[in-house]
Amino acid sequence: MGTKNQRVIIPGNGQYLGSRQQQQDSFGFSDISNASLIEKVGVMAVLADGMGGMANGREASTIAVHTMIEEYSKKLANESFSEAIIRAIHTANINVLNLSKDLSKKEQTGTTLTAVAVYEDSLYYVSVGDSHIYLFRNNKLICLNKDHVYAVHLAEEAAAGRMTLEEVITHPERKYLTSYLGIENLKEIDISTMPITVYEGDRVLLCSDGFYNSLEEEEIIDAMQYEPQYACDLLIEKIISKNLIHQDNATVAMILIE
Amino acid sequence: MPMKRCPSGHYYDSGKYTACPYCGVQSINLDNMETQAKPNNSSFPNLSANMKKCPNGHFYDSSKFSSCPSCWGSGKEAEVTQAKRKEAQMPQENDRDEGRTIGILHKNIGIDPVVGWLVCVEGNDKGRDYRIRSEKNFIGRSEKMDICISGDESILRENHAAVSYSPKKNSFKLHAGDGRGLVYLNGEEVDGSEELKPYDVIELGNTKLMFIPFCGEGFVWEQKIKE
Repeated sequence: MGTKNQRVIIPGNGQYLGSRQQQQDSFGFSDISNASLIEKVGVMAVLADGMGGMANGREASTIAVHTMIEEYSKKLANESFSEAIIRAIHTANINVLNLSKDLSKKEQTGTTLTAVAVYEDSLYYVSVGDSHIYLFRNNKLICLNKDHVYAVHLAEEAAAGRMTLEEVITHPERKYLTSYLGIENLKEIDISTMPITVYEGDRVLLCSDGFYNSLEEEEIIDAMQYEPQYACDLLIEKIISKNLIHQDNATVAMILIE
Repeated sequence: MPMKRCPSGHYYDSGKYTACPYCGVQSINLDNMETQAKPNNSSFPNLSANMKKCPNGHFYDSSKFSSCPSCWGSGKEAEVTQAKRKEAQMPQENDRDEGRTIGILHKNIGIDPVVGWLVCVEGNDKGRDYRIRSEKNFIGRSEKMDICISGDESILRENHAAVSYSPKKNSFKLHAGDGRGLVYLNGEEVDGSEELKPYDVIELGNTKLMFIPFCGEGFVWEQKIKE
């Protein structure tokens, strides 16, 4: 096993196709039973939501998840955790970009990406797009990352008096992504500036918008009393039981820190 | 519960699934399945009464999934079950992709012009206007809705009702939603759908919305804009 400071991580995950024809969400964990890997980089969980308006969204999200885990696992001794995460996400961006070039599709290929790494008592995160990272502690759910959606820019316009709030709320493009993997010049990245200290019993959830849009916060909190895999199963079943007409792909990846 | 990690980094209950339920066809490896079967000396120990084999040869828990999860989204199911899908009259792609994730670069592809408005005349959002665009506009409390009335808790989150504009007929309709929330048109309950006329009042939850058309006898967008 790893050093005594390393936390035991218990994973859980769940996925639902919804009313879509393709599952474009992808997720993955680094190997939580690989002691030497844990000693070096801890544990990483990644989730990506491929862009449905674009060709090959599924491939983009799969490549992004694999690249992220693989590149982060190669963390160099002289690299900080944040530096390794930044390097990994830029490599993932290049791989997604290359995918759209390889396919020489007219349509762009893209994906959101959220990733967390837990090393000893420190939690690091990174996000582009509108997938969410939640920290669950003391029965409260806190979203750690910011959404990269056009609504954020619209809200700034409203704050400057150039638009009304009504126009922001009803703007047809308010949910369009302003940052995602598959962009030539990836600038807008949300990353933990300082590692977050984690405690026993903390949980971290990564989820796609099809998951958080279909569940109330209390419903997620209610499920947290159960062990991670059962909690994920319950939440996905909850979404299925709602039988929403326009249910997007819904995916959740969870870790419990013990 | 024995949680197993597949090569793609997904964790799953290996007592329940012979292969990762989150992976596509590529994860099915017949050699692996054989090796798993050997220790118990019976051919497929993990196959309970609920295990079903799909036309592509995958096994899955039919009590949990209505169709094979390994085939979802892999594209493979299209070849095998295309005929069946036609029979079942699957919804059109446009219906199913509502609210999908779209990049901002696509926002310039064309505009979806306004064809009318709803104005809140009673309720917490009194004074606010909502744009109606061509074809169906779903009304609900959720931000995902085309017409999002966030200030009224008694309105269903999704699809409480819908207002549609038909570019072909140049006319508007109000449709009742599929949930338990009722919708009224000028005080009368709407069962299926009803034609909308200028200044009609739509009531849902504690909110009243007045309908103001932009398209109609006086004006119509040229068809090319929508196409």
